[in-house]
Amino acid sequence: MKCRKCKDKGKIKRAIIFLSHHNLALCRECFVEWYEKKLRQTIKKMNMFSKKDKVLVAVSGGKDSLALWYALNKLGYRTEGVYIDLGIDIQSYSSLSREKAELLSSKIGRHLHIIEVKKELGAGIIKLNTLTKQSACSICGLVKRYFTNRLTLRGGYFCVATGHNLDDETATLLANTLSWDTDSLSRQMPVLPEKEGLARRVKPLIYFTEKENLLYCLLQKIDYIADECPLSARTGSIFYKKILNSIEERSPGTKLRFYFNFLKNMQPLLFSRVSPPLHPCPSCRQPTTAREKCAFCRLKEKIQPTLSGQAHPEAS
Amino acid sequence: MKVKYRGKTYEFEKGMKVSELLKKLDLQPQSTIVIRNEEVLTEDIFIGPEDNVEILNAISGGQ
Repeated sequence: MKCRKCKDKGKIKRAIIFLSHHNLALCRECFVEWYEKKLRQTIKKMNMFSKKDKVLVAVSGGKDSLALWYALNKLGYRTEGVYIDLGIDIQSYSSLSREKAELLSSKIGRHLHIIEVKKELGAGIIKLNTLTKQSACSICGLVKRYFTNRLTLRGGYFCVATGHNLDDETATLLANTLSWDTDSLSRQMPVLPEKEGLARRVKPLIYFTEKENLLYCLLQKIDYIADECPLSARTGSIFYKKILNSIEERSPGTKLRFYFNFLKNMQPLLFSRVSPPLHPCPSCRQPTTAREKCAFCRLKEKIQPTLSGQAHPEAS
Repeated sequence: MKVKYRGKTYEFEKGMKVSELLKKLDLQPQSTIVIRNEEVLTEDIFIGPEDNVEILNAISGGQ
């Protein structure tokens, strides 16, 4: 298979990837060029941020968020990173993923903020899961949203950018559609504007599949953590991703159509509904739809009696 | 042919195309990248019986 872009220029080069959803075969150089151009276009078209804005990139140590941070920096955007250390010691998951985030920070010469959940809350995700009986994934989502929101606002960043990709978004869209979860569907947007104490959140990788992000990492020699989070085993997103990839194999372009036509035709109808009013949490002042304290402060309250009764909390 | 995937090694006597190898291992082309000597291979490439390849998993999340 030959690179189509090179062929158009009268050259012959072996392709390394065939993007069936774009009917496009690309060589190494043309793929990197295509990826970075498409990223720049997505950011501009969706009005995510400009080169003047200071952007906080939330990195997990995985391929997607690291590809995003590297590419944004290469394209000349003003970025800093944030890594939330969840304190997951199974298979040294947190320390290994943190190492990858720190490596990239050194490689590109950009500052990386580290927020340690154990230091902030007195316990890591596994202990929080045991103490609260809430699922590890829901606690993880809650603390990540809380800390990235707090840092984005306090640090004067224009927005926080996350590594959500086309596969993540379509898997979520399929799951939410199958249960007609209109609240979640109404919030599924590539740009969540800033409002009442909530930082602006953007997803610049929505156009790219996981495979494309992985290939970008390989070609740019970005070291990432390949292992899955050991606590994510039951979230079910891979199940939906496999179903969507099977459909994609038979009908290339389905994922792009499913997601982008949702954004164009369906999401505006859902977003126009009146969203519940936000109040400042009486404890931490971050916004919440709850009448009382926010979900994060309620989580803290739940674990405090146990942790304060311990002689040696996990954070020490 | 020796194939490394997720910490395991699979052996095949005969050579085959990337697309056939992925089918044999029940893997989806959209969620994998096949590498031979640091070279990324498209599905139409033939892998010889003496070749060593590695398959990288591109899909992430919970099962």
